[in-house]
Amino acid sequence: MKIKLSGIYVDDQQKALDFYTKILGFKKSQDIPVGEFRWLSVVSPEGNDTELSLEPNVNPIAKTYQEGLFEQGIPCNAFEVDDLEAEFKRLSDLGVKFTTEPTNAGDVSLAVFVDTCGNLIQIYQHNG
Amino acid sequence: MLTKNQLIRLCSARDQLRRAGDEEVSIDEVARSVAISRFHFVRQFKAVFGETPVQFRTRMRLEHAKHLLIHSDDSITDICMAVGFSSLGSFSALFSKRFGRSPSVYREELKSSDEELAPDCMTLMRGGWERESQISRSTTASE
Repeated sequence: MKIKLSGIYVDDQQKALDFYTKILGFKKSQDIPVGEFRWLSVVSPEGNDTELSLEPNVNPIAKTYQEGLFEQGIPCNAFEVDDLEAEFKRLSDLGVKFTTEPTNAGDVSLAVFVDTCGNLIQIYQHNG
Repeated sequence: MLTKNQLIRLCSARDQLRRAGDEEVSIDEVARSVAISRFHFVRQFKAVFGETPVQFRTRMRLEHAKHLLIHSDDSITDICMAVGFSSLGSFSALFSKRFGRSPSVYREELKSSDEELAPDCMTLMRGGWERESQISRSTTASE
């Protein structure tokens, strides 16, 4: 068994695709129309083939869950980076809002930003 | 840096805009209620939610229209007015631009299909694969 697919809820799939590709730098993988929605996923350009699906939060339960996490300041997913400070600066320069600036948390350093689609995302770097 | 307090105030503003939906609540009023100047409110809202307060409100109105198109028999004009638009032309144009079909076509398609209205990941994946295999079958058949 392998972890090859993970997903996050987004409030607008096109807005999410723009943010996850143009700002974060992921590549579009699957984009298949399904009724009024899309089976939409992105992958890291760095060779990891795990897909992240950008799922519409039209299900009221999904929306409640997503908004609850957001309002409590809890990230819904985490991505690893090689250089946290550099990524923090790059994203800040692109106008991304952080709720937690780079912070040493022992084995890892982490920061948290808003993805403009209703989520907080954590990025982290292994220390040492 | 966005503080927890700012985040909560912006969420509260978003909820007000969503609740107000069909009524004409001014952006100034919402900004004032969360104690942020209009200028900073619009900028912060866009940075956090990826769209301006006006764009967000329009999107919510169109989503409400979608719901009414499926779950009521009201006319398109009545729905247009009910969700806060004053012009049927601009309502139809915005709806078509956003959802790729006019309100009447949307209603016809959704009412005549058994499509899931609130899909989850696996529903989308299944639909996507079925669609892909149909395309693949039709491509193979035409070769």
